[in-house]
Order: sequence, then C-alpha cells, then structure tokens
Amino acid sequence: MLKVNNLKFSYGKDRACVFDNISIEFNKGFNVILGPNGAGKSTLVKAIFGLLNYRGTIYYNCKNVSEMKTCEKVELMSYLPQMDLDISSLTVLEMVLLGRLPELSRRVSDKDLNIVMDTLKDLNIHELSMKKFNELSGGQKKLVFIAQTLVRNPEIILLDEPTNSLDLQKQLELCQLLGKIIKVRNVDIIVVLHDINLAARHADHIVVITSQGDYYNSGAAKDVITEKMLRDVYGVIGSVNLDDENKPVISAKKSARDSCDT
Amino acid sequence: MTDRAFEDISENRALYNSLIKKRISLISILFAGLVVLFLFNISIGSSSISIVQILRALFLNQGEGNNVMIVKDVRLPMALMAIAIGAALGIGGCEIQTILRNPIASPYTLGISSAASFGAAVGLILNNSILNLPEALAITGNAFFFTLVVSTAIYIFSLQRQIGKTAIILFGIALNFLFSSLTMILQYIADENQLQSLMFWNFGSLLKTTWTKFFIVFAVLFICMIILFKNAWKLTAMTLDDTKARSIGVDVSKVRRLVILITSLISAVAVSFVGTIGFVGLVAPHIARLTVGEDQRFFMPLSALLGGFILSLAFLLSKLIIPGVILPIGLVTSVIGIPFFMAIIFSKMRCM
Amino acid sequence: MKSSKKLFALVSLVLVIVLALCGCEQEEQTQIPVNEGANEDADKSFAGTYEGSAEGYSGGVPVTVELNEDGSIVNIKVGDNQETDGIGNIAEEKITRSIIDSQSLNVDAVSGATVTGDAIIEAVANALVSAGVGTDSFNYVPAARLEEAVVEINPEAMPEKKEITETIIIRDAKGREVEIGLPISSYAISTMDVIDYIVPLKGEEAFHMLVGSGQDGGHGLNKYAKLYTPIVGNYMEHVGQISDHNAPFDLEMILAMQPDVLIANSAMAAHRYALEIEDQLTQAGIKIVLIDVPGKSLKNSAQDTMTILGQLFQKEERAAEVNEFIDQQYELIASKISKEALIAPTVYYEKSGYADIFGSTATSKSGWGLVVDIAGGKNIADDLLLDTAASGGGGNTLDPEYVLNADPDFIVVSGINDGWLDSVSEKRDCKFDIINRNGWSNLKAVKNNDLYEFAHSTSRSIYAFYPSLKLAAILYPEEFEGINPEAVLDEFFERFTLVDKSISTWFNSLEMCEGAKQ
Repeated sequence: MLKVNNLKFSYGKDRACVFDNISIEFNKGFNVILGPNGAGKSTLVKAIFGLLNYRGTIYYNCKNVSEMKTCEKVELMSYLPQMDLDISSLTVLEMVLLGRLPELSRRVSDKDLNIVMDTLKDLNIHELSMKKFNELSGGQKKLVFIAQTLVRNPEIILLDEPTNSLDLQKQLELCQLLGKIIKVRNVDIIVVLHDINLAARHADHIVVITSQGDYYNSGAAKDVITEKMLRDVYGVIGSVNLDDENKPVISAKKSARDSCDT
Repeated sequence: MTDRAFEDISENRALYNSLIKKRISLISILFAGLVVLFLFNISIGSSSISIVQILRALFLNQGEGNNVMIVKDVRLPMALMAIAIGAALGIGGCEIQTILRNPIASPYTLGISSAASFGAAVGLILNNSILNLPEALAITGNAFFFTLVVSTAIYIFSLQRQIGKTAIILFGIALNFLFSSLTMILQYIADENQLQSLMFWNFGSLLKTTWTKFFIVFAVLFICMIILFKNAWKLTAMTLDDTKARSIGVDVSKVRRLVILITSLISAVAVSFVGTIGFVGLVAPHIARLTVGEDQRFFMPLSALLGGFILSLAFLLSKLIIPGVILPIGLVTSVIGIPFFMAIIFSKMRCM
Repeated sequence: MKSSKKLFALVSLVLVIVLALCGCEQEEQTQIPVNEGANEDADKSFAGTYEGSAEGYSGGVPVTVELNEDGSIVNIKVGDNQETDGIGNIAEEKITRSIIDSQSLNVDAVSGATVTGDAIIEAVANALVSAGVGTDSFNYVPAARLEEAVVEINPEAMPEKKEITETIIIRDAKGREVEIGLPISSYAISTMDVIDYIVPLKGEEAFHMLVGSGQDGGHGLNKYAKLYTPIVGNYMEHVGQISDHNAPFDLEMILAMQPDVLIANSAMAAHRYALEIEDQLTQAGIKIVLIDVPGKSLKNSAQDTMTILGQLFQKEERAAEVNEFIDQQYELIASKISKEALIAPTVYYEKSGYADIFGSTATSKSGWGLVVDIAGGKNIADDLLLDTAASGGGGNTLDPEYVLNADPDFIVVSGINDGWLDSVSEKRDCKFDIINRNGWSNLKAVKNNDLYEFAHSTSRSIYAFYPSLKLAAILYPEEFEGINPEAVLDEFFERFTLVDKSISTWFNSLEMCEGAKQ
C-alpha cells in the first residue's frame, strides 16, 4: 500500500541528513514504526503527510502522494502530531467538527454533525461533547484528537506517539480501539510507538529504523523483534520470548555499551 | 429505520443548538445594549438639545438653529464612528490574538500605533504631508501612510518561510521601538504647542469624525469582516498548535499572512482617523473569549460588538464626566481598561 | 459556569467605576447652598452667630460667623471639613484673620489653597446674607471657580443677530480670502487671549458678542472670567467652551453657539483643527478667520492681527490707532539701539529652567528669542542653533557647559514664576532656582543680578511691545534713560483696555526677588 522510495531529507542545507535514500514499504492494517530516539520516526511521518520538503517519492496504491496538492493529501490522510496537550477553550464538539474543516460550512450541516456525533459515540466520548476541551483529562484529550482525525474518513491515519503520557490501561485501550477502527472503518494506520511490547502485541506490520535513519528491517512482529535487532538498533542486551499468543515479548537486561561495566 | 435516523438527526441538532443558542442570545443582548448606548450617544452632547428636538431633527429634518446639523452631522457620525472604531479594534485584537496565539497581543503589538503616532508627529511637528494632502488631512494621511508601511513590513517579513509567531511578535516589538524613537527625535525639536497637540492626538478623539471618514472606516471594516468570516473555521483551527492546524489541512502561514494584512489594515484605518485608543483591542477579545470560547463564528462578531460597546460607553462617559467638555476618548478607555486588564491578569493567575 | 462568574466580576467592576465617576460628577454639580430668609430690617441689631457653608476642594466647608450689633464681623469659626490638612488649616487661619482685620471679603487667597480660601470666603458671604447684613459693604466678589468656568448656557443671554448690511472679503493671516457678512453679531475665539485684540476695538461689547472660546494651558477661560465678570457682567452665560487646550474643536458646541466667525490663532495648533471642520462650519454659515501671533515677525504680527480684526469688527480706524501706538514703541526701540557704536550685550534665554531641569532656549527666530533680538541682545544660542531644524520654532536645550563658557551678560527666563494673569489667581513666592545650577554663581549675569523674567505668554500677546521695550531698556540703560516702559504700558491700558496693567505679573528680576540668592 504506502511505499516510500529513496527518501532524502535534512533540516536545512548545512545540516546532516536525517534520511539518506531510505526506502520503506508499509502494509495494510496496523503499521508500527519502531526505532530509538532521534532515528527520525516523527520526521518520517511528517514527510509522508507532506509537512516537509523532501526528495524522493511516496506512492499510495500507485498514486504519487508527493505530487498531490495539500487538499488531496488531507483527504487521503489524517495526521495526529505528537505534541503537548493543547490549551483551547473550544468545546469537544467544535474541536471534532474542526476535523471536517475542508467541507465545513459556517452553518454546520446535519451531515457534519452526524458524522461527528457518531464518531464520538464510537469512541464512547459523546458524553463529553459539550465540555470544554481544557477541562478534559489527558486520555480524553487524546481520544478527542483521534476522533478529530477520524471524522474526515481518511484512507490512512498517521499517529505520532499517541500513547505518550497515557497509563497502562489507556495505552492498551487505545491500541485495541485502533485495531477496531481498522476493521470497522477499513482504514490503514501508521503509528509511531516507543513501547516495543505494545507494538509487538498489536501491530500487523513493524518497520524498524536505526538511529542513523536507515531502514533496518520490516515484517511481522515475531520476525522483526529479535535479540539481534535489540542489540543492533537499540544497543540493548535482552531476551525475546514468545508468549501464549505467539507474540514476542522482550525483556531488556542491560545496555550493550561497556561504560556500565567499568 | 428511517424513523430512527430522523430521530438521531434531531437529537444531534438539538444538542448543537443548545450550544449555540446561549451564544446567539448573548450576542443579541449585547447588540441591544449597543443600540441603547448609541441612542444615549446621540442624545447627549456638549450642547443641550431636548429629546423632542433630537427626534424632530432626525426624522423631520427640522430644528432650531443648527440643531439638525448637530444631530445629523455631528452626533450621528460620531456615535456610529465609536461603534465602528470599537469593532475594528475588537476584531483586530481578536484576530491578532488568534494567529499569534498570544492573549496579550493587540493590534498595537505589531507597531501600528507607534507608526501612526510617528506619522502624526511628522504632520504636526515638521508640517509635512507625505501624501501631499491638504493641511486638514495631512495628519490623518501621514498616520495612515506609516501604518501601511508597518503593515507592509510585517507582511513581507511574514512571507518568508519558517517564520513563526514569536518571530512576528519580536519583529512587531522592534518596529514599535523604531517608530517610538523616531517620534522622540521629532519631539526633541518640537515646541510645547506641537508636543501638546501630538499628545492630544495620541489620546485619541472622535471629535474629528465626518460622514466621509465614517464611511471609509465602515467600508474597510465591512470588507475585512466578510473575508474573516469566510475563513471562520480556518481561524478557529489557528487557535490550535501550528502542526495541529496544518494536520487538519490549514495552510497556517497563508492564513497568518492574510490575517496580518487584514488586521493591520483595519487597525491602520481606525488609528489614523481617531488616534491611538488603547485597551479596546486587548480587552474586548478577552471578554469575548471568556463568554463564547474560540469558535470564530461567535468569537469574532462578539469581539467586534464588545469593542463597539466599550468604546460607545467610553464615549458616553467622556461626555458626561465634565459637562460641556468632551474628554479625549483614549483617556477614558484607558481608565476603564486598566481595571479590566488587572482583572484579566488576576483571573489568569488563578488558572495557572 | 466559571467563566460567567468571571464575566460577572468584570461587569460589576465596570459598573463600580461608572458609578464612581457619576458620583464625582454629581458632587461637582451640587449647588452651593445659600441660606435664604435674609432679615430685611436694617434697624435691627445684627448681633449673634450665623452659619453658612460653601463647597471646598473636597466637600462642604461650614463656617460660623459672629457679628456685633452694627453687623461687623467679630469672629469666624471654620467647622469640620475635609479640606487637606496642613495647607488647608493654614488657609483657614490666614483667611479668617484677614477677613476680620479688614472687615472685607476681598482678601487674597492663600497660596496653594485657593479653592479652600474661596470656599471660606463664600461661606462667610452666605452667613452674612443669612444674617441680613448682606455682602455689599464687604466688597464681596464671587470667586470664579476653576470647575465652574463652564457655566450653564443661558439661551436668553445670547447676543442678538443683527441684520447684515454689507459683505466684505477679508484676507486672513494665512492668505485665505474669507467672505463675511457685516456687521457680525457674535464670534468665537480659539483661546481667550485673542480677546485682548478685540477689546481695544469693541470695548465691553467684545465680551457681549463672544459666544465661544477654547481653553488654554493656563486656564484662560477661568482667569478671564474671574477678571472680567465684575466689569462686564456674567458674559460666561453665553460662552461655550469650544475646545480643550490644544485639542480639536468641539464642533457640536460651535454649531450650537452659532458664532458668525471663528477666529483661530495659527501660531497654535488651533488653525489646523479649525480647517479640519471648515466644511461643516461653512455649511452652517460660520466663517473661519485665521490670525497669526506672534508669527514670523513679532514687530508686525500684532498689528497685522489688528488690521484683520479691524475690518472684521468694522473698527478700522481704531485698529489703526492701536497699530500706530505699537509701531511707535518698536520704532523707539529701533531708533535707540541702531547706533553703530553700541556693542550688543550677550543674552541667554531659557524657558522654565530649574537647577535640575534644563529648559529649552530659543534663537532669534522664534518665541522669546524674537523679543531678545528686537531688544538688541546678542543671543548666544544663535551661533549654535540658528541653522539647525530647531531654529524653526523648536525648543532646544543648550549644553550647560556652553552656557557657562559663553558667560552671557544677561539672562532672560520665562515660565518660572507668575505668568500671564497669574496675579489674579494666586500669588506664589518668587524663586529662581536656576541660579543654584552648577557654576552659575560665577556667571557674570548672576553676580550682577542681571537675571530677568517675563510672563511667558506675553510674547504672543498684544502687549508684546512691553517686554521688548523693557528688555531693551535693561540691556541699554543709558540709551533708554528717561523712558519708562511701565508708563507706556499704563498708557496702552488706559487708552485701549477695560482694566489696568495690575491684572498680571509682567516682570520679575533676581533683584526684586528677595531671598532668591543666598
């Protein structure tokens, strides 16, 4: 489905390349991008959404995404940036309505209203619709933003570390929700995650990037998450076991760097 | 099945209506208040004319002496101008605060007021008309010219890529200092009468209003409001983080440029015709935000209404405080504005 | 709901302010209670105590007046009041004592407590009225209060419109040609001092025809009202305040007062504000005539103004008379100092200077520099500033070192002690703090007591010939022997005005100022 070909990018002319001719292929369903800090996971997602000026091409089902206009891209993809939680005195209803921006008229149509309310119900947060965004908890805010990305009925949803600052239960619920959304709405999701175990449990397809911004490996969880990968990419010595559902679970033991020993 | 769908629709609609109903009724109440203030403003002035006389002058075009002219050509345009200027400053403040995502920004943050004041100083002290206008229009013309210079400078600055909101605020502050120091140079060579005149100009005054001036302000205000209203949802999205706004499909820098152009134009017109009236541009959007939130479809009109309301109130007070004398309106707005500003600071502190 | 609470707080805050402001206003408008029921019976003994009160600086000032049988004041007690402690108390003591001593209500107010003093006098007057004695024998002149300068306009008192018999075209000071129907029945002026040019032409009628004037920085409206109301009657009841100090005109007030002409002085910003509203005024049949004092040439501007106003008020001969008088004075000065053998003494001028505040000076081309120039002084600022932008009327501060180095023969100042018409409001102690500046005690001028002050705004008045003549006489004592500038001024007042020259402080010198030098 989504294919990144020979992507080259740097922040400013004189700066080192974040990516130098990286090529990645994503699958249908739940895609997860894994990699250590500074590998360029967020940059990759931003590039896919078209917020950066890069060299190289990105295809989606043979359509050249790189050459699409912003409005077409916005129609195809939704992107939830990684960010500090916004302060806004909008109500939840308005916040989610904003997700329908390109088509939104000043007199809110029944169609827009229904899409928003249905999505809120899907995410089980319709009770909050009249509340001010400011007054929500961190987890609720996340859900509102996910609702905002959903109401556009995109084909691909890009999420940059959505589980940040969520507790364990919320993280799991969020991932379960994403899985449900993929099935019900027939969308593909690309998520940047930090938690390897969470990724291993929920992802259909995992892409690993090294700290130099190079492609390392991709595929199903049990193929990708290996002890070698942990050492090569994360610089961590640890063991990988399979749990009762045949999903890999890692337990990291110590840093591969010598400094700790001496 | 259809029945259920229909029910759903009405349920969602009802929910939505309950949200906007409060806001619409608030706007209506304020509008009514504005009308009352407007009526007060045309019935109170430095000469005492009875209500009957005013009504006769307004509707029958009859009256003793110059009463018809006083009511129709002096009080009416001044009362309308108070509303229009207040609205212009309110909208200016509302949009600048929105695009810079900074609650203490106002149209003057961009250096508009100091540029206008410099233009006035050029007219008053150097007796120079930049646009070669007749003497009576020289000061307004100069003020307008320099506010346009500042607006253009900021616009060009914002055209560059990678210019964020902080850079724009800093650039505005730099322009502010630049023009204040230029004005100070002129003040150095001015005599005391010129200084006094400049000071008075800076206070702001509606006394110079004519129908022509009102129509110019009104036309600019009207056009700008329509453009802004068309972009209402985009502007609402601008209250979010830049990346977030872009992720919804808003071209952040384009909207920001557009708004800078419009707000600087709108404040330039307001400032050059009546002088620098402070606080309205800061306070009106604040109260509006506290009451209706940041949905631009309500936030912007309410800011405009509140701006007009505050300025009309200030104008009324300026005529009442010393009977027979009209105080500079800028003075009165500051006096009302300062406690407001303090209240805002205190309520913000509580939130933090 | 939290937000609505905040809103409520804000709204109530505004209301409080509004109410507070309204409250102040009401207080200001409170009428002074005058005790009615005067005892008409003249034979009756007046002995007893009587109460009266008047509005002071902050609230009422009650007094109890004790009279003896023939109605003389034996004692005055000032009751509890809110006047400022200190200065207010001193005022109470001083005023009551001098009223009892002189058996007169026409006593000088105490410096710094004019309002309190006037309130006490007024309260005593009220008590006297209630006692039936009346105020006639006590020389009572009601004080014109600063805040009462704007009195309620009485439509009955407005000057009657006369029938227009001819029209003339007047070329005003800016070269505008203004067509005016004569005779004019009423006029308005940009500031009260303009009336000094009209009084010589029309006498008391100048005030009867006046329907509007702007305020100036020295509260001219109030001072003129205080000075002239006893002479010409309560003319303020048909005069509207048409502008604030150097502020735009209140178009509505002008339209309401309907003057035939608005006379605006171009030297101030007034002409600009006047031209801004020219269209509306023309539409209402009100003409604008611009005058220019002191203008570019001090020697002629007063005369040019008189000529214009002479045409306007149809008193051209009278105007010529005034002009002749003024011309004579300037000719006199010129004739005395034109001798080539004379060496011009050096003069330094400074406006409103104090030891720590360096006031601006003026070159020979502007303001008081013009006076210095006419009087034959060599202005030390000329060398430095004449060719700079500042010479065009702008103030400029000289380097203090330059002044010390130049060591001028004479120092002329203005705007420090009493100014134009100040003697009718209050007397302050004279003080020349400027001599305490570093190094000034060694200056020739200070050592020789050659430091003089003129009332600041006289340089742009019709009386500008006086400071010129006076300064010339100071700079060239030998040449001007036998010429008495004060006598010239007296003559002018006698021939052309309704008052005498005691209305103002004109001149002050270091020598006259006791204790200024230690």
